[in-house]
This record gives sequence, C-alpha cells and structure tokens, in this order.
Amino acid sequence: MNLPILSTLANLVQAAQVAVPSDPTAEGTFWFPVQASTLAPKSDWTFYYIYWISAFFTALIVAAMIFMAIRYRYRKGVWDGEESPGHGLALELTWSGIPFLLTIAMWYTGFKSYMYGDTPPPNGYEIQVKARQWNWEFIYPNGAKSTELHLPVEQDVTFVMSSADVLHSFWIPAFRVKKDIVPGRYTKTWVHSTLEGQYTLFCTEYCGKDHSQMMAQVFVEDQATFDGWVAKQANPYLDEDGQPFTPVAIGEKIYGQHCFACHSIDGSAVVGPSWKGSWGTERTFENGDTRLFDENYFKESLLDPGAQVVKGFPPAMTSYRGVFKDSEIDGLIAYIKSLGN
Amino acid sequence: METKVTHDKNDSIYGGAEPNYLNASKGILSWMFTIDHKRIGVMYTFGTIGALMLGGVFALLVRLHLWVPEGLLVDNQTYNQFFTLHGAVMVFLFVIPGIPGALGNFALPLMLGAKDVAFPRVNLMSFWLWAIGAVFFVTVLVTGGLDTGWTFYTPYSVKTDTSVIWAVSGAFFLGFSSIFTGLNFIVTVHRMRPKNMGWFNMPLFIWGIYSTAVIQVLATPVLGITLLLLAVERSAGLGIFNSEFGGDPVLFQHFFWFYSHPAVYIMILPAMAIISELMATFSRKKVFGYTLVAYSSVAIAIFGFLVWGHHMFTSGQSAWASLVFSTLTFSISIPSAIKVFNWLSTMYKGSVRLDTPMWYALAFLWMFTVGGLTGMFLGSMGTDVHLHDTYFIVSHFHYVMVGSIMFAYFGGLHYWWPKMFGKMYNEVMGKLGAALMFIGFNVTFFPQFIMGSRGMPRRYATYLPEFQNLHQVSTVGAFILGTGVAVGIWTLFSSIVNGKKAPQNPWGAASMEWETATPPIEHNFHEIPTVKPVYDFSTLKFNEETGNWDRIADTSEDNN
Repeated sequence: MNLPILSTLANLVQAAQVAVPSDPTAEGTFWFPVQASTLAPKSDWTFYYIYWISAFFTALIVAAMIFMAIRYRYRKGVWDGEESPGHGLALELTWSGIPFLLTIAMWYTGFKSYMYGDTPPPNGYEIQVKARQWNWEFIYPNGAKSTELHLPVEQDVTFVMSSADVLHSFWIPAFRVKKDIVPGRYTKTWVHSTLEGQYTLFCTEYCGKDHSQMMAQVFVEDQATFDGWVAKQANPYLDEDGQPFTPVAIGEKIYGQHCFACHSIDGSAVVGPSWKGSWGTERTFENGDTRLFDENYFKESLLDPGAQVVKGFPPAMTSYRGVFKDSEIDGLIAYIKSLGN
Repeated sequence: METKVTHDKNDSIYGGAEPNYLNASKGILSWMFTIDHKRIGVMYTFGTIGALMLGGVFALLVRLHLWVPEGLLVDNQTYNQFFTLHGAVMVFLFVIPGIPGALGNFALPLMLGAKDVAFPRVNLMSFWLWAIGAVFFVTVLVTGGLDTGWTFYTPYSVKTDTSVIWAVSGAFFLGFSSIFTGLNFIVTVHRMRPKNMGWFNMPLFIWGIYSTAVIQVLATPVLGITLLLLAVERSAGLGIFNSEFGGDPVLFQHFFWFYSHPAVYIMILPAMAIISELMATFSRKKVFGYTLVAYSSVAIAIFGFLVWGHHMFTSGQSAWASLVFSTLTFSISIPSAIKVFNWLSTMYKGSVRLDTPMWYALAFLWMFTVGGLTGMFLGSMGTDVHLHDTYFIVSHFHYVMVGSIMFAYFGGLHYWWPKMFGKMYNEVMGKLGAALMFIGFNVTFFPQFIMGSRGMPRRYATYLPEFQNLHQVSTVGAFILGTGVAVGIWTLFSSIVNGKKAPQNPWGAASMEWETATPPIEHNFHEIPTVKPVYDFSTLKFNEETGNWDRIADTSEDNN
C-alpha cells in the first residue's frame, strides 16, 4: 500500500507547486485566480476571514483530540479514568458563545459583499447575455453580437441574462461573479473589472450533454480598444479610424473570408471560374445558352448557384441566400468590377 | 448455522445454548417475511452495503474519467450518467436509509430493552419499499439511464430523454420507506421505553435517531409530492416547473430543497448519534454535557427545516430571502459546534481505548470539523456566490456525506457487528481499513477544495488543463479510498466465517443491547434488564479470561 500513497504525496507536492503561481497579482494565489474586479477583494476578504478562523479551530480540535487520546489512553489494568465533571455550564456557554460571535461577523461581511455584487449600479454599460445549450451569445447596446465577451476595464457593466432552454449559470472566477440564468425570467448581475486580460466564463449550472464545454473567453480591454472592437463588431466594414469601407473594400474583405477558395483573382481556374477580367463577359453554360455577367447574373448565381453553371465547372457552390446584406452584395459586385473586364 | 454449536463453561456470556435470532428459524422465507427488527436491520445492512458498492463503482468511474482534461473513458453524455447515478444511488439507497435502516433497526429496540419496534410489519414493509426503490434504480440503469444529476433540476429533467420517471418513482418508494422507518422509531421511543427510563436517561443514539425520525416523517412527503408533480409535468405537459408552459423552475428548487436540506440532517444526525455512543464507550465516560448534546440534536432537526434557501443564493431568489436563510444557516452551526466540543471533552480524564470503532470516531471528528467549517464559506452569502456549484461544494458535502456519515456508518458497523453476528473481526485488518479510508478520503477530497475556489465548476465531463494535477491526485485518492472500503467490508464479512466468537459485551458499553446474549435471542430479552443511569460504566469490569466486560455488583441502581 505504500507505493500509491508515496506517489500521491509526490503528486500533491507537484500539484501544489503548479497550483501556487509565482506572481499573485497576475496569476492568482493558492486558493484563488487573479482578482480582476472590484467585487473580488471583498469576496476574498470574507473567505480568508473564515479560512483563518477555521484553520485555528481545526488545529485546536485536532491537537486536543491527539493530546487526550494519548494523555488519557487506557492503561492496562486501570479501567477507570479519573473523576471529572459530567458537564460544565460556563465551558459550554463559552464554546457556544465564541463561535456564535465569530459567525455573526462571517454572516455580516458575507452579506455586505453579496449585496455589493447583487446590486447593479445605475447607468452601467448593459450587455445582454443569451445562454443556450451549449453556447453563449453577447449582445451589446450598438447591436453588436459576439460569442466571446469583451468588456471595457474600469467600467460598470451590467449583464441582463436570459436562457433559451434550461437553467444555466454565469460564472467568471476572476471576477467572483456568479448568477443563475433561469428560463422564463431575466436575471441580472454586474461587474466592474479592474485588470485587463483574458479570463474564462463557465456555465456552472448543469445543463445537459455538453455542459462542460459551455465556456466563453472574456477579454477585458482599455476603453479605446473596447470601443474599436464593439464598433467593428456591429459593423465589420470600418477601418482603423472608424471610417466606413468603400464598396470595393467590403467586397475584398468578403472575398477573403468566403470566396477565395473556389474563385481566383489571377485568372487561374480553381473550383469555379476566376473573377479576374470576368465582369461584362459572355458566359456559356452546359446547354449552350449564354448570358452577360452583370449585376443580375451575379446575384442570381450567389443566391441560386445551381441555376446557370458556367460550362466546364462542377455545380459545387452552395447558396448564400440570407448570408449577405444587400450592401455586402453590392460590395462584391464592386470588387469584381474592380478586377477588370 | 446448525444449532448444534459447542459450548464451554462460559456459555452464559457467549449467548448460551438458546437459539439466537439468526438461527431461530431457517430458510429464505423466514427472512423475507420476518418481522424481527434485528433481521430487518441485517437485511438493511446487506442492502445498503450493496448500494454503497454500486455507487462506489460509479464514483471510481467518474474519478477515472477525469484523469485527463478531455476525459479518459466515455463521451460527455455517459459521464453525465455516471455522476448522476453515483449521486442518486448513494443518496437515496445508501446514505439516507443506511444508519437508521441498518443500525437503528438493529440497535434501537435493544437499547430500549424492548422486544421489537412498535409496528414490526410496517418495519418489514419499509425494507421492502426500499428494495422496490432499489429495483427501480437498477431499472433506470438498463432503460436509458439518468442524466439529470441527483437533484432532478427542472426544466432539464422535463426535457431529457433519459428515464426520469423510473428514477423519481424509485425515489417516491424510497420516500415511503423512509417515512415508515421514522414513524416506527418515533412511536417506539415514545411508547416502548422501560418505565424507569426517562428521556434524559436514554443513550444519545436514541436521541439522534428520534430527531432524525421526526424529520423523515415531516419532510419526506414534500419530496414525494414534488417528484410526483415532476412526473406529471413530464408525462402530461402540465406547466408547474417548466417555464415553457408557464411554470417556474425556481419553484422546483424550493420544493426540492425543502426536503433535501432537512434530508442532510436525516443523514448526519444518525451519524452524530453513533459518534456519541462510540466516544462515550471508548472513553469510558458519560458524554460530556449530555443534556446539551441531546437538545442540540433536536435543535438541528428544527433549524434544519428553515435553511433550504441557502442552496439558492445565486438562483435569482430575492436578496432578502437569501439574507434570512444565511442567518438561519449560521444558527445551525452552533449546535453542531457544541457537539464537536462535547465529544472532545468526553475524552477528558477518560480511559481512552483505540479499538477500530474509535478510529472511525476520531476520523469522524476531523472530517466533520472540516466539513462543518467549510460549510461556513457557503453559508456566508458573499463567498457562496463564488464557490457555489464548484468543486469546493463537492468537497464540502463529501466531507459531510462520506467523511462523516460513511465513517460513522462504518464505525457503527464495527461497533455492533459482534452483537449482530456473534463474531469478532480481525482488529488489525479493521484498523487497516479505517486508515486506508482516512488517507484515501482526504487525498481525494482536499484537493477539490483548492480546485473549486480556483475555478473548477462541478459536473464537468471535461476540464481546463490547468486542473489536471489536482484531478489526478484526487483520482489516486479515490482508489485508495475504494481499497479501504473494500478492506473494511471484507474484514467484517470474513469474520462471519472465521472470526472468533464474540463475548456478550466486548467493548464495555453500558447500554442495554449489550445485556442480552450475543447474538441476541429472538425476543431480545427474557426479562427487561434493570435500567441503569445512562453511560454509567462504573460497574463494568474487563474479564481477561473471557474478553468480556462483566457487570459487577450493581449497588448504584437503587436511586433510579
């Protein structure tokens, strides 16, 4: 039996070394991840208060137990212990009274930090949290949506949360914030983050099969970075200075995300015809029909790609109906036009 | 066993030539239809140990799966079933019925000098309802499993495809089993105490089981109705807990914890009751502050009804409701603290013998202290928000459910085993089992506190790599714990075959179950023994020759 115990001890030592990060401000402490919100120090204070009291009483109890088990051990032939009182009112009042007073303090500090965390300040920046099996969606006031959570540092941020299916719970350990998300009602929580960085959001209310994969990355950024990100998220076609893209730039960006794998811009044929110099040309189809490559043909090919496939190419494209806004389709047209005819 | 056993000159202390309750009648039917509380206790013992082993297999599967971050054994769905079945089997089939069903049934009437419980047939029915509940749970295993967690939280439990109805039906039967046991003990304690045994002359085991019984009778119906509503909602689409039909999921949580928090005290009070017996007997001292310990059991039973909302601090219930529940939760810590200090003081100036049951009792003191004190972190609203639904809570309640209750159950089994089966087990093996369990348990669960507060959510089939080291330590611990439990069970059961004959009173205990033959005769006592002051060890002297604690001339009993 010795071997597993020894290897366990070795593992424990190793785990403790890994678990105690060298820099408590950046990586947290033995017990906690980093404190990244105004709530965290308050919550942790209560934790450590209870922790040291518990450590003291545990040590006291174990020491007393070991001491008495040895001091008053049975000695051969001496069956009876010594005379001692069967009860002691003063003693019993003491060990009821002292824990009672100590617990009042635990109760009170815990209540205070709970109320702090449970009372969203007015005028906080509001993010809608939509939880469903098994992912998160965050909706920002300007209409931006994302699956990762971005927050401005040193700002009050309120989360208004709802669930599409079953119970979930919103937990960011670095913030010490947790709130259940209950189908059929909205729940709220809030945070004032204090430290830029990347953290993890967990679902902590069991919600079925992939509960353990229901996580999201949390990015706390300075205000300017956040403003840029959220503006871009609402409208991806803005440049560094917040100026809107030209239609050609919009088209180019979409090309880089969706079209490049099948359509070249250098004239070479890949899966589909190249876009270079294609605008305004006559396209020939398998059945011999021809049609001018214009705005209407492009839009039709995008939404109903199988209708008229250029001769010599497989009908491999899937429909993009509903994927792009009109302005994005216009951008694609402008981009193809810019590739020459 | 044949009645033709050999007797020596010490027959009287070994139970004499009379048939005992084990061999008074024979055949499977004589057990199935027995109304003897001792036989029912024995059947409960075997049944709950079986449930413990089944739940333990799931526990080991859970721990093994978590060896690597992406999961070692199975897909997420199957893992979810593992932890659900682990929890459901352990809670409903082992921890709740374990001590009252097995040891309460066996020892309580004997301690009262009674021939049986008040309603022996109801007692038998209680066991068979337990067995039916167990059959339902086993059926769940083969009919699609269960993946709701043992808490059956809605609306997931309404939506999942697994065998929720089978499981809640099983829990429903088990609820009745529990109510019948409780009802029986309440009436037995009220009506069947010997004339000169007042309430404050009862062993504390009886106080504990009595307090438990009150909760069983009052709280369990709420669980029954709640689970029934859940079953109706699932089958008929009624909107009670499911918001899609206008129900409220949080209402389910209120109903569920209205039972299930008191149920925690259904589990822990009998464990405390055993510890009181063990501390007194093996310290050869009356439990220090007996009256306060007795009252604290009742206080815990009453307060236990008023704290359920502390499971819901993050559920969206109002902050003021949470405040009230937090206040009441801290109130209940005081009687628990009183008990610990009083047990400790019982050893003071005693004559402490470290036999196997006492090893379990001392282990209990450490684990209950840790389990109780970590409850403070969760009763305090501010810290609970961070720790709720993490491994911290998993560890906390395992320190109470396993570290305290299972250890007390094993302590009690090792204590009453010689009386139950008339055989002494191997002390060295008994202590080895206790030591392995103690080491294994702490290695399993202490790292889980650290994991939890550092950010590991509970009920996760996969996890972030940063937690792997702690998970691996925990898994190694679980296998040591499993080995310890196996050694403990093996030690006990093998003693039936090859143990030494047990004397009438091997531990020098003062309560009345040790005044009858070992194993007891079918009707417990020929005549009700004289009631002596509770925990008065002064007239018990060890007989080196027989290994028995003999009663010497009782001179002190006249003042009773």
